[in-house]
Amino acid sequence: MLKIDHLTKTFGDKRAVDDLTLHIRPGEIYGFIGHNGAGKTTTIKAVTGILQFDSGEIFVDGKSVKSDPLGCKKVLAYIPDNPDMYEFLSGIKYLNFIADVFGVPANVRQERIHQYADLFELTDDLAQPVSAYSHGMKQKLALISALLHDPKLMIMDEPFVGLDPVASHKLKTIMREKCGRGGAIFFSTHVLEVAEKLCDKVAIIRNGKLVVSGTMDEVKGNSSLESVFLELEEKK
Amino acid sequence: MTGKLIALNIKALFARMFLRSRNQKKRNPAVTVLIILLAIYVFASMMFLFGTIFYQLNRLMFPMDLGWFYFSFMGIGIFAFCFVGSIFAAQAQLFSAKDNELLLSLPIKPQAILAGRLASLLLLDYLFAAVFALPAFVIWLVFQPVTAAGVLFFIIAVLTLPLASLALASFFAWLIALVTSRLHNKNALTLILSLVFMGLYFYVFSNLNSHINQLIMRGEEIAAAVRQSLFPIYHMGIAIEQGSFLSLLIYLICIIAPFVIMLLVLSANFIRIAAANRGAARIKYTEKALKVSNVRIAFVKKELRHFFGNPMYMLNSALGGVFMIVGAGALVVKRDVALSFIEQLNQTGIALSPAALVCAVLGMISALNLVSAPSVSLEGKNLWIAKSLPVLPIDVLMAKVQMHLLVCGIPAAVASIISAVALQANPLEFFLILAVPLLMTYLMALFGVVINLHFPKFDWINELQPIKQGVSVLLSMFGAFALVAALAVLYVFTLSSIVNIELYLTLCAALFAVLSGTLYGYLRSGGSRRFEALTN
Repeated sequence: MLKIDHLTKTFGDKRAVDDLTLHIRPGEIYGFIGHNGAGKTTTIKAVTGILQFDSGEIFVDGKSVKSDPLGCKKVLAYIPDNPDMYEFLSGIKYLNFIADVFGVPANVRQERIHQYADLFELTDDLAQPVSAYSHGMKQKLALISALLHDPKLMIMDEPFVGLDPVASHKLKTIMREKCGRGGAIFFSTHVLEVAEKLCDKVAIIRNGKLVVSGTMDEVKGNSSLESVFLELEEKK
Repeated sequence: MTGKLIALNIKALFARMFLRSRNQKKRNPAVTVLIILLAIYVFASMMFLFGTIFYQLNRLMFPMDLGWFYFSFMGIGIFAFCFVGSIFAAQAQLFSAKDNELLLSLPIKPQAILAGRLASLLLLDYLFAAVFALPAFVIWLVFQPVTAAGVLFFIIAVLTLPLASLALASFFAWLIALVTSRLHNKNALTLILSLVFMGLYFYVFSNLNSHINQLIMRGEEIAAAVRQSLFPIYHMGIAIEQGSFLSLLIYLICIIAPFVIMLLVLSANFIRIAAANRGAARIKYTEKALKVSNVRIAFVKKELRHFFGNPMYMLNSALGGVFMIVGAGALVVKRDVALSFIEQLNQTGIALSPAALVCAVLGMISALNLVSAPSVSLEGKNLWIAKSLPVLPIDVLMAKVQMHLLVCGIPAAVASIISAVALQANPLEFFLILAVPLLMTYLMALFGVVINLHFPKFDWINELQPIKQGVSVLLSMFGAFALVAALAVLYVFTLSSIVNIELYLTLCAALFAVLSGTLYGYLRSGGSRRFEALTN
């Protein structure tokens, strides 16, 4: 579903991502872990077409991000670490705008907005301007907008930040269901307990380079993900 | 601590103009020089304007033994200027400051926070006061006998008068904050208030000469009215003119008292005011059928909602449209004046037709329509949305162009039609009066987006920064002025003897069309690539 092949991105002299290779298959929840400034967000932004990269290739559902960016963007959904959205729109107008861009039919968008807004308890607030939303409400709105076109691949940067425990639980359920239906999820997180319980596979990145990747059992063995991560960090 | 807070607030007040980009290692020196020159020009023009008025007043009032009115007039000017100039700043600093809660959580006395905010507002008022006080002082010094007490009292008066003005501005700012906090549509009220202030401003300045003449003709009458109704200002004038300490004392008591009351009220309630989160009443969503649009229309609607959702965007970027309609209306009323003006020009050898005049004026006014020029910068932190969605860059960029066309093209078309009808233009002239301004508007729309792609500014704190001070806005405005002026000069001084005006206007329309086509081509290729490479 997502193939990152020898990805390199530099900012001036700094190699933010250095020869990174990852492969996320349909049905997988893939966790992406690393310290602050490790290159997680840069990788995610390159995958979603926000950031151009220096070398390597990225394929989404078999399509190249470089040669067919629109084809890639149509099948993926992105939730950024900081859900900045058009504050001059109301929640419902923002969702309708996203549905327009993805060409979601009227009855389908109506049904999905109803379903997910109810699920995340945001229905009553959809007429409010986004500027009046709290961080958590914006995060929920970003999640609903990401689910509107039923993406094959969801890419999320710290998706649990700002969500209350109930909403976090619902998101985890959605993630599991989506993968159960053949979708894939690639997300970064600092909450290692969540990654350990939720992810099928995990990759740890340090200073732009892949340190370790594989199934959860391969990476952590008999210890916890936290101890593996801390051990790897100490080897710096 | 208070000193640091004052410095911080002053920095915040002027940040819009002098803010340095996070990504820029050095501030662009050309932009800094341009801003400084512009500030000097505005300051010098206003001082010259008020200097002329004070010169006339000086010649009139002192021989009539109404010298005190000279200073009272200055006092009224300072008070009004400071009040109008600082009311919105007072609202932003005192009642809507985003860092109030942060500062209150720090070990700083609330009074120190308040003092910092008031001191920075007062400094702003002193800048406004200087525009009146400096020319008044110089004219007085040069043309009248001056005493040391008079000079001292003049300085005291100028330094204290903004205190009363600030007290009144703070009161009105509180009222505005109170009303807007409970409204669903704050933008409408802000827009109405801004238009009222702008209308008053234009009314006063467009009739300045007649006001001055009234003042000269009915000087004694007006002075008597001021003596009776503006008691403190009268004593201020007496104190300076006659060096009267008693009058100074009366004036100071009257001026300082409202400031002290305002200070006490604000000090006692500052925590409550700063921490208040009144918020508009919650609108509950009721499900209804959603309108479906294609990608391009969805983006155009988004751009229009952005534009109409920000009164400052409307006021600063689309004022040309208002001027066009007002100008066309004026042409209907003053048709004869316009025709005789053209006749006079023709007699001096400048071949000008009504169509050429309308095209030139509407073209010049088009330069004030800058809707598309900050539109890329206004994506700000939301740039990720357009870049991560399955949409072609050209669709995103053309949505901005189309927004400009809808907002500015409609007034241009309406003004063109009204003008053509008013001037009883023949079919060819009618076509040219319609085509030239519309093509100019299209060119401006494209140019604004192209230039903003090259000079984007995403790290703004307030949307006013890219709207008012963006390099792309300045370049678009001056570029359009230069183009229209160059075409006018080229015709008047060179080509008028070779080609007739209709042909020349047709050539201008063709030039605008070719330039627009070139810019559109660029947006499809290089411009799109540039947009893809943009990061915030």
